[in-house]
Amino acid sequence: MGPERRGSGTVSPIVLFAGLFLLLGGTALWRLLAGEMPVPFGAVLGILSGDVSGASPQEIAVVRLVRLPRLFAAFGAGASLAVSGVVLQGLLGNPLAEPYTLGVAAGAALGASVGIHLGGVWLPGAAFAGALGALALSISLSRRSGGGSPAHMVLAGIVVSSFLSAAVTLLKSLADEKLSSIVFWLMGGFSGATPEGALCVCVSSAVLLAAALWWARDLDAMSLGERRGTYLGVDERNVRGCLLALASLATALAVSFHGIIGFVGLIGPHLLRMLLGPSHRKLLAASFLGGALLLSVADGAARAMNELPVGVITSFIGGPVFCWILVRERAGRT
Amino acid sequence: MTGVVVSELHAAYGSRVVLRDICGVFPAGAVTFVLGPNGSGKSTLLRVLGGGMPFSGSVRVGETELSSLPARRRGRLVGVVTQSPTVSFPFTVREVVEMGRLPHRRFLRGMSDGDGAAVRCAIDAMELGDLLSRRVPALSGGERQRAVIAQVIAQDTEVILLDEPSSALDPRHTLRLFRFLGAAAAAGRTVVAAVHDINLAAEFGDRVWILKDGALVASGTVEGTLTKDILSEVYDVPFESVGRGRGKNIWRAV
Repeated sequence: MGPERRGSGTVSPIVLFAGLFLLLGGTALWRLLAGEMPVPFGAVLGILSGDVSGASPQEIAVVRLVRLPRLFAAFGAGASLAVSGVVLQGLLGNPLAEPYTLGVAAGAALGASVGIHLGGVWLPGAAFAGALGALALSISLSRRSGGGSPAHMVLAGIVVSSFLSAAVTLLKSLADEKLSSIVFWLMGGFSGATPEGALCVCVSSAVLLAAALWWARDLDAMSLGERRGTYLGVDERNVRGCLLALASLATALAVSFHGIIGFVGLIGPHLLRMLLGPSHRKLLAASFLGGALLLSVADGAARAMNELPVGVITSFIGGPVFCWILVRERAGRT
Repeated sequence: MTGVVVSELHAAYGSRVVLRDICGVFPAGAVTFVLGPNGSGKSTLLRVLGGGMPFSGSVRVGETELSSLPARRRGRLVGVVTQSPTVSFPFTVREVVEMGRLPHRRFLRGMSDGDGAAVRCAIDAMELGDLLSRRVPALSGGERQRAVIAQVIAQDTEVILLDEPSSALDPRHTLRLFRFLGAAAAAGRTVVAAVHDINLAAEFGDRVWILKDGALVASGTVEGTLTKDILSEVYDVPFESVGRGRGKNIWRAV
């Protein structure tokens, strides 16, 4: 018998985390250097380290007020959506769960549209209420229709998403003068990222990660399904309530600042689960970094393609990944 | 330790009542089998006893009311093997068995020597040594069932509840499991198993409960309770004894 492996991963966690940090660093450098206005490498490093003597005022403004907020907004939103995906998958014992497939993003979108109607200050709160409402609706519908099986949950998410998207379309048609702002916002993206917004999204993603790591072992047990969490001494109601609220809040903030960006909660977590195994302590931390990496690279690509909505790129990657997971599920080889 | 005392227990799924006015004792130091036709409430009873479903009435373990216990303490007291367990995520057998130590582990601490010993005991009991690195979703139904049973053995609880634990096990592992449960009961634990196989209950049980339509219709020792009349009435089919094995009647529906 060969040496006994303790975990179910195929890659050493140290190697994987080192790789993720390196890739994140490289991506950050690329995103800070790339743009209409060329900023020399030395100037970027100087601005980051606080020594602005070698940079012009324009270069300082572009890096500090445009590129850094955009980079951190993409980092924070990607981390939020990926960690939310892992948390939802663990809590519901459903590999297909994530903010987009459960209708959480559509709920946040409807809430945010209502918020735009009421005035910008209501936007984050309305998006959060919409996200929570949509999640409650999807879970309730799936439990009443099919006992909460993965397929029923996704079906319920599709129904809820379709209904809420129709409501957003109705709102758009009723809101002549605010139509352009809703449409612009719904397209999603990071071109209008502000330092305050980026900070907000980054903080919410960090809070969600900290809470999820606190309950990581409980999530392992709950992800077995069939109330195994309860039988193993987990206060499921408490853990589920807190983590669903935090995941909805993080998703709502990401959606309210940057629009609907689908599948981030599926792509990163599933690839990382294959490499690291399903144990949540490692998976959550890796998904935080992986989500940040994925969305910042997708944003860079979107920007290079004439500011294509970043959700288009994540959906082009996420759609096939979703199908792949579905086929693996069917074959029982997850 | 007096075992598990149940009184005036009622449980329902929405408006459908599945357990009504159940009163009785699962004594410590004995293996009690719960029998009854499909839909009689066996699985629901175990779910309620394990804290996995709301109920009205009282379930006491010794002097402690189960519903008043914090989740972690309940997890250290009562372990549940669910029917036909499925695992959606690719945990290894070792990871699944180690999860049984969750209610005993301290926050942020690794596995203690005691945890390690409990896990090794569970792995040996279910003969999982060769499967430790295998991913549970890729195992056969019986292997998966052994992994989840081992998780509950590692949990090391005073009360062990099992719902159809041998439904996917081969004869060797069925025998091994019920011998292990017999030894656990002899060491003072309360063991309750819901099964369909009356002869399994007759062979390995000390006591039986028989449910029908959510009500407890008979309970007591195996010899005193598994009678032709009771079995025929509960299952709506005639039963006859077709001989004796290991000192117990062997029953067959005719």
